[in-house]
Amino acid sequence: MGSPAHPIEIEGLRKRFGATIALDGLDLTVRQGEVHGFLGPNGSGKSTTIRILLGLLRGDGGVARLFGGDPWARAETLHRRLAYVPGEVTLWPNLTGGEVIDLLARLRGGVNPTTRARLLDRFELDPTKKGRSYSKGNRQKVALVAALASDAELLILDEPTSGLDPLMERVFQQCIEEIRDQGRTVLLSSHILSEVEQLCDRVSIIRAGRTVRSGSLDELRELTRTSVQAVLERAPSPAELDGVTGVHELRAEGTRVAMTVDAAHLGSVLAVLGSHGIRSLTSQPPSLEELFVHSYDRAGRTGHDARHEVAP
Amino acid sequence: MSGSWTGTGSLLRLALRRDRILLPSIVGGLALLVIASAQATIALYPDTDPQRLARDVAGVAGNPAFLAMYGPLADPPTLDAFAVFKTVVMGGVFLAIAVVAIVRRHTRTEEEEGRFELLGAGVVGRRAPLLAACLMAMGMVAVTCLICAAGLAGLGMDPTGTLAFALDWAALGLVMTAVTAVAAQLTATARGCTTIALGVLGVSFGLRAAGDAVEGAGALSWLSPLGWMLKVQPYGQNRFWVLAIPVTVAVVLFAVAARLLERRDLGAGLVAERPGPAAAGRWLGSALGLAWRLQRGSLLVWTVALLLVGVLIGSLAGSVASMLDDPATQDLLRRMSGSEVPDLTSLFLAAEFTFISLAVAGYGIAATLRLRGEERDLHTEPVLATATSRWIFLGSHLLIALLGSTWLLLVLGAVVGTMRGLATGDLAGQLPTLIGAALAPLPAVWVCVGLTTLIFGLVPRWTSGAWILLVLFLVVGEFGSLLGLPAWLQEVSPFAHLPSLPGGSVTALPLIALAAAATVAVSTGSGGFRRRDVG
Repeated sequence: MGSPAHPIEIEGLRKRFGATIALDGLDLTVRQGEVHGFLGPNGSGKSTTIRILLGLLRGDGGVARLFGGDPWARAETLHRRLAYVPGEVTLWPNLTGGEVIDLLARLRGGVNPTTRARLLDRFELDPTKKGRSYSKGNRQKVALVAALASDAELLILDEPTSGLDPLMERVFQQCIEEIRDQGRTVLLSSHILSEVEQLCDRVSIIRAGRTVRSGSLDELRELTRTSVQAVLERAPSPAELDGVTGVHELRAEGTRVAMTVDAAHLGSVLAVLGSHGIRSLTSQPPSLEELFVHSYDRAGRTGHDARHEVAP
Repeated sequence: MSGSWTGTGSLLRLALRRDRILLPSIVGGLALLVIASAQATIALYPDTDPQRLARDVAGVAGNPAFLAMYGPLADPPTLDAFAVFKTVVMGGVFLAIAVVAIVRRHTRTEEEEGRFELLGAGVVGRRAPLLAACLMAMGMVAVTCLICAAGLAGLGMDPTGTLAFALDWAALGLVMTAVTAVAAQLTATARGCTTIALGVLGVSFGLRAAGDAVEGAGALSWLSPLGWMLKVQPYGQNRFWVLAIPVTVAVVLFAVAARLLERRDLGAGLVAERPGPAAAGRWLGSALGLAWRLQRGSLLVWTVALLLVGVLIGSLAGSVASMLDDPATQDLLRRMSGSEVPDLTSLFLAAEFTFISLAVAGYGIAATLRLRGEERDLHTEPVLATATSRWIFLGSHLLIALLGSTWLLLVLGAVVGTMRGLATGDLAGQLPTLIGAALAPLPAVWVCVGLTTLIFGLVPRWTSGAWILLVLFLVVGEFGSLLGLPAWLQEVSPFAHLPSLPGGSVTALPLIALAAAATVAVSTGSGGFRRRDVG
């Protein structure tokens, strides 16, 4: 063994359920100490990936490594080092929330009573209620407290904030920031893009069982266009701007221009605009939402085009 | 006001659609039980020999064991009354259990699983689900009674008595429907609803048994819905006026259920949920601790049930010899069971132990199937995501299934052994003998647990197949020779290879073979579970 392995390394992972292909060559690398956003629409294979990582399902092809080990063969040893919040939390109807938190912690190896008490307090969770009487949000809180109260190196969270109110979401974000500050690793599957934008160092976007994009948010932004709006002193002729490399979706009305610009060519485009005298300029990097939607658009179109190429 | 009933028709159709296999099976099974046993009894007395009938009736009428089990015979004791002697109460108990299951299934279970919320948001009145469930249960009871009446009349039995019998069962079904309707309002869980409704049934059986069998306690029978059935005396006095009692009680209970329904929230019970401990106890820290916590309630209920069954068998055993003092019957029984059976009490106990071990196998299967229930409810996932291995998870529930079934047979043997020991004055001899005899079917019970594990590990979607196997073993054992089934089919059942204990001789080989089969099934099933996807 050379340098310590990444907590999660997945390459070309495949899984099918009967005729349905759930994972079709998925790649995912989560580095030590990062909060990694795992994005994808419903049914894109996020939970399947996580279940394979936990050794609950067996991959049909490709490689999945957890702390450098095989999650299928060495599940219980590896699980001592992680905590998990499932996407759909169901509690034993006749066990109280407090009992479930303690049980799961003990099954993993132990509970820190101080952390536990602090988390119960922060999430405003009543641990004496029975599992059947919790609301969806409160069931989610039970699972979160159970996972966050551990001092596991890796947290695998499958849509952990679904069902939480905005106040509790904020508490959750604070908790994750603290965990990152402690140098622990988090894999965060989520739908809430603002949350991912705020918490995650790196992001993987998947679609139909494949990784579409992966990298830091800055890297991903570089791959897409920035929207630029400017009011110029002298109205440019459309041809002047249209010809510039990196300019797309140009709209010009007199001195008012709007366009999207490839991140790589932002400098040269600004120079052209500058030559017309800039009165005001707003430039907006793509939001994660735009990135996300864009990834799907493009991936969808590529697939479509590919089919056309094959056709005679 | 009419709005609260809206949608009853649609719900009824939905329920019928969901139960299109269950309902005909229950109706058919109950009707077959009543008609076939009446026919068999009538066939025993082809010449309506009044003396033979009178002698048998006298044997039954004076026997406290029979009185406790089936109640007194109708007066006058006609052949027709004798033909339904066992089915009035025993069949009625089965009917009541089916009614409880159906009403609960379409009320509390639906509500607990949140499906009512889906329906309640549509055009469905507040009372509609309860009404639909009750109508469905009563419809099932009505059809069952009609078929039974047609069958009994077809056997040439007395028409007035047949009417009394059918109305008797219908009244019981009505009361139990009303009882379950109230029970479904009281607790927030389907399990709680079953416990209350079956508890009422159990208490009414106990009151009736005591009232009918114990000198001077006769008034107790009047407090029991099952007792009212016997007071009607179908094919005897046919006292129809007694039926006014169950009908009145049912009307009152339905009104109570409707009032309770008005006063509670959807999903809630009247008995409020109590807060529990804020932290787990010391023992709730392992997979086995969790399995025990989930299963201890059912083991307790089974233990109490086997204690009661043990008391019943213990008290019956003493009167068995007198019950069967006809030399011809004794000879027949001896020939049926092989030559070496020394006495009829032993023969009786051996038959009862084997029969009850089938019920205990049912416990073992249910306990093993908790594995599948946990998996289906997604409870397995967070547990297996901890340091808990699949072996440990599987082993925890399996251990409870294996040791639990052992414990239950041990309880049975200890109770019967103590009672026989006290009765014969030979406690030191009887207790160990009968504990051993009660434990003798254990390898067959374990085979059932093993087969369930096998199905769970290899083809988890077919876990209900374990119940089909148990029914197969039961049918093959009880009716195999009667129906002339081929020998290999009869020997498929692990229960066919058990020694007849107490009294019979023991050969080690079949027991070892059964234990080996159980071991192979358990390890194959465990291996399958280790290799398959979870969820």
